[in-house]
Amino acid sequence: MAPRRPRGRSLVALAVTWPLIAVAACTGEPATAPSSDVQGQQSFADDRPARDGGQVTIALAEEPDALDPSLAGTFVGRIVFANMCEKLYDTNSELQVVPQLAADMPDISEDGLTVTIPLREGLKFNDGTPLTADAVKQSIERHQDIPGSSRTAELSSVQSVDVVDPLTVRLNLSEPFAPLTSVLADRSGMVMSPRQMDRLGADFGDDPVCVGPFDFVERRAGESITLQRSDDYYDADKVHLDQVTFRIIETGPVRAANLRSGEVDIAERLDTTTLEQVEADGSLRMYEAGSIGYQGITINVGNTGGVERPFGQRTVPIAEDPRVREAFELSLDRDTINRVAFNGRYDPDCSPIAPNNPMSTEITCSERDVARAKQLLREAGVQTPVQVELMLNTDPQAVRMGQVVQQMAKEAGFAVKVRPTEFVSSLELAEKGQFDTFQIGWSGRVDPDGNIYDFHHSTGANNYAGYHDAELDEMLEEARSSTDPTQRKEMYADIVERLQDELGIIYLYHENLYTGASSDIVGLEYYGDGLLRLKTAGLAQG
Amino acid sequence: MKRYLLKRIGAALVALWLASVIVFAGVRALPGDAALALAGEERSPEALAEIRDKYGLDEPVPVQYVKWASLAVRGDLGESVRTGLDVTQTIIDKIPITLELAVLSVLVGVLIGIPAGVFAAARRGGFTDYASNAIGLAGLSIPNFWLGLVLILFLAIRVQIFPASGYVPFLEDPIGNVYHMLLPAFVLGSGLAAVIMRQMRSSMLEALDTDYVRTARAKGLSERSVVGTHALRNSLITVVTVIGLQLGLLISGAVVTEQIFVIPGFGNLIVAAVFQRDLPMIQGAVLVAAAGYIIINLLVDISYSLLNPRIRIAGDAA
Repeated sequence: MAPRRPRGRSLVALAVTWPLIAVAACTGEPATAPSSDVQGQQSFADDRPARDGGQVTIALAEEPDALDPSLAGTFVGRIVFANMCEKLYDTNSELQVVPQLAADMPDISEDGLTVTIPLREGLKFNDGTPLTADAVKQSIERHQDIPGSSRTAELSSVQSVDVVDPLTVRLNLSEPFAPLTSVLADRSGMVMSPRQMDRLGADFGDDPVCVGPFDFVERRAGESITLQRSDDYYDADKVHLDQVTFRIIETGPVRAANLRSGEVDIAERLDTTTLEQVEADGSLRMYEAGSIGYQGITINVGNTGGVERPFGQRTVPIAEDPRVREAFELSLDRDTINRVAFNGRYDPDCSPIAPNNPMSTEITCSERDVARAKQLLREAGVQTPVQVELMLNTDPQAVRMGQVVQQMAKEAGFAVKVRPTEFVSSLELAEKGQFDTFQIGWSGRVDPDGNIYDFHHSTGANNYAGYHDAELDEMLEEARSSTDPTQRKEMYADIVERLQDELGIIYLYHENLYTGASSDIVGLEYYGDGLLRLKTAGLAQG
Repeated sequence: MKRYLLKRIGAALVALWLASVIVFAGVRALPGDAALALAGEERSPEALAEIRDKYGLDEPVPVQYVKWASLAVRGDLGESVRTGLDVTQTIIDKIPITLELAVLSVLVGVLIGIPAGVFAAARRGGFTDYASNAIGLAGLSIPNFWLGLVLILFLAIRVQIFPASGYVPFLEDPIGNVYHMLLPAFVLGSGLAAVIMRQMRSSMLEALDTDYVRTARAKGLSERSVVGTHALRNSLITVVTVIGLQLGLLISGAVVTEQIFVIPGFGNLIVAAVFQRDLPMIQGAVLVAAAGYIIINLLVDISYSLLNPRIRIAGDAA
């Protein structure tokens, strides 16, 4: 998921996709029509009760990194955490932030500098020790201080943590930061057992202990992660399964094949090319969720020397003149891209905020208009065809998309050169500003600040576009310090409109996340954040 | 003898050291900033700086090398930057898996290829010959990943005879272990079977044309004895050489097969490590692989010298 990390080895995936489809097609399987736009949560009208016990095997699309909330940086690691490491806050099916280990939403002072969090009573870590405010303080401080921490940026506004009483924690901020609550609904809000932190120190990820429906048992590198039901969990009576095993199957078609053969019970993030086979299989169910992330094309406007240097202005047509960028956008038909490259399975859009996000607002995206595009290029006085290099990932979906973009843009007067680049190399080139345009996405954060600030603020770490505008900077800063949700929603509506004018990033679509599961499984929760929640999952009785 | 031995061991150690330097430098020459890969999604300048600091990525390369090498010599290859698990232990866990796959594949290749080649040669020009040739050609040309997926589709999904993936440790469940390895070994061994079959056939045809075979026939020995004993035994030498040459390809083929059948072996380990820029893992795994080849070479050299006195004596004298 992440910034479009290629799922599965590109060469293998490319080669294996078509033969499997060819053979499957030859065997005359009935095709079911893809479901309509999916937003929010997929639920099945299923009254079947779950029996007690049993175990479930889940195929993950990648291997997680360290199972240490302070160090972890992968999306797929969060799926494992969702089942063994609860947080102060969580996201519900409506993508709203709700209390999980906290007793209530935080009490934020008038000036926004003090955040007081009440904790639930009587909670125990999976090693039996009690959850107290001290544990929360120790966890947050560890998130901030441990070498190699991935949480420093998002917790940078937290100056200190106070223990008010055993069930109350107070965070003192250096400046108001509205997204903090949603930050605490991710890894920064995960509370770790102090006893285990003291025992293992930096090796906490070797045997993590948190509060969760399941407890970590073992991990085999590149192979599997096993969790088992926790007796110390506060809601243990709602948990049905005895054991959950995560296996790593990176190649998309292989993941789908293992789901169909019954080798695994659940397979997350199925490739769009494998969806029909899974949907046609009566013993399987498809869970869909609209992702909170986005995919688009980032245009290098001002990243002349790398993201850590002051931005300048690139002197190529597409960087210099917003009319050229607008012409580029007008040459693209988002619906066609979706149809051709993604079997119509994704949601075309022109905003970084997904429609299922409570903070999103109605928006009209531009339709394809080649005539207008040509006119804009004439007005801009640029020589056609305008040379554009499009860097993208090497997996088949991305390459397909690049080719569609290339063809469409050609008609308007752009000569697009598609440059498939290995993922990590492409990130480095993007950071250094050594690219023209880059097809990249973001797995998404519940708070819209998480989808926009880092990419458009002049100090943003992910601002590959090198976009720097004092006015936009101010708008972003105001939106993140305001504590009034209604006001923030309006501010983001203005910001998105502004982004549409400037087009440092041409937003194209939001992915839909498809997880296939055996129809024996009930109580599985799957929301727009793409995390598989197995707290109440079980195998159907009878 | 002793001098020869010492010289060969000395050369092997130098080769090993050179390999370690090349691996280390090569891994750092990989395009793409390793810190970016290691950071996952959280790529703020602070996070990147912390990662570079933690893993010493900013230190001069020779310094990083000395730190790594001094631990590696003691068998400590560090921790996986991705999972935090011990590199040495992970490698030790994975190598037997891929070795087993390779051995079983060779077995499949031999059990199919040799009889097929013998029959093709014995019935040269007949239907068996042409059929075997056609199948051999198919075996050579069909990519093993395609074959793997097709077999999974038909033998694991439509009709559930075999498992679609997975691995069961031999000591835990020997039958389950072999059961899971059957399809992968067949897929990997099919290409080898084709090569063996063709080599066997041509060696046999050559052998069947020689004087001593003509003599055996003239002496009145049965056809079975002529073909099965005399011709076969002499053809096997070339085939064994071919198998040895193909072993290298087998290891690289194992990588793809492991991906298709989700076997947590050595091949999978290296590929994943490279894409994740898991520097300690890549270095450790490639070093171990290089060491493996160097040691095998050394043993072969030594065994040659034991078998052939002339090599031994010449080695001592030089």
